Amino acid sequence: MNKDEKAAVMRVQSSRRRYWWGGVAMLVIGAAALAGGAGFALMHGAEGDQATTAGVAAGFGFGLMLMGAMMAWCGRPGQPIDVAESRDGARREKLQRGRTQQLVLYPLVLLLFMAQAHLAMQRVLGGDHNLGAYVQILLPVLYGWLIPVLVMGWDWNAQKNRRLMEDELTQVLRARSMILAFVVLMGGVTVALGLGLWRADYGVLALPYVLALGGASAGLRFAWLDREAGRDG
Amino acid sequence: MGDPRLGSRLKEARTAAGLTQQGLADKASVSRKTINTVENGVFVPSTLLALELARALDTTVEALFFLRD
Repeated sequence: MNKDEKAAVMRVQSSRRRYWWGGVAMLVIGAAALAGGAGFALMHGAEGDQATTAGVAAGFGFGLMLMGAMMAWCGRPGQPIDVAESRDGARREKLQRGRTQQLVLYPLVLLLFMAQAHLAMQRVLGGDHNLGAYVQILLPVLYGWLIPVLVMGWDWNAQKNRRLMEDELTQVLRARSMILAFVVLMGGVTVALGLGLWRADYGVLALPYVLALGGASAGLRFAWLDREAGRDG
Repeated sequence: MGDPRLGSRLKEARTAAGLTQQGLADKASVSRKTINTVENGVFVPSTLLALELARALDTTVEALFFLRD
């Protein structure tokens, strides 16, 4: 085993140890919250707000236990380590492939949120200033922001693995994707302005679509260019 | 991304060195797609990347890239 392979194995072992002990800790805390919440509700015959609080604690505990169990399973000791899969080259391919998959998946999620937000926009513009409706409108806008953040490499995963996720090709793909997103945004805002001058509420209604389209175009363009870059010939 | 003025002998040099695209990518610390796009003339590498590739193949930049007339 050469120096790089030894370093790769040590990295995997350290990551698995973190997963194992983190998972065990979450499992214990979750079990305590579940037992505390359920025990309090049963022993004191809690009702109303107290029952709700106990239920939330028990539910939170159960969720934490599930997550902890999954983490501990992923990091369980004694698993064989695939040295080839742990090397930088394989990790680079895996991380970059993961980013591309996210950039295809998020625009699809965005589409679903957009359909939901359209109804909420109509309600708000109709005078129903409900907090839930505002949250529904914000969701596609936030996703519209999230995609360019991923494309730009400003997310936590890209920052942590900058050495593997950033290379010259990535920078070129990023630039081309963001150019398209900028053109879509400029075009979209121009259309929204035109609609707004005609009917003010139509202009406002168009804005979340413009933001979502701008973000989605950056992500899909990046994914498309990345796919093309992998093709031979 | 590409430029028709740039000629490349990267693929020939890589195969002569007995390396796969992934093997060269690992040696030059870039993705396989970077190597693929440079070989296909889709992407013009920077001076730094050209030097990295030359070093990974134990040759010179001039041996890998040339200007077409």
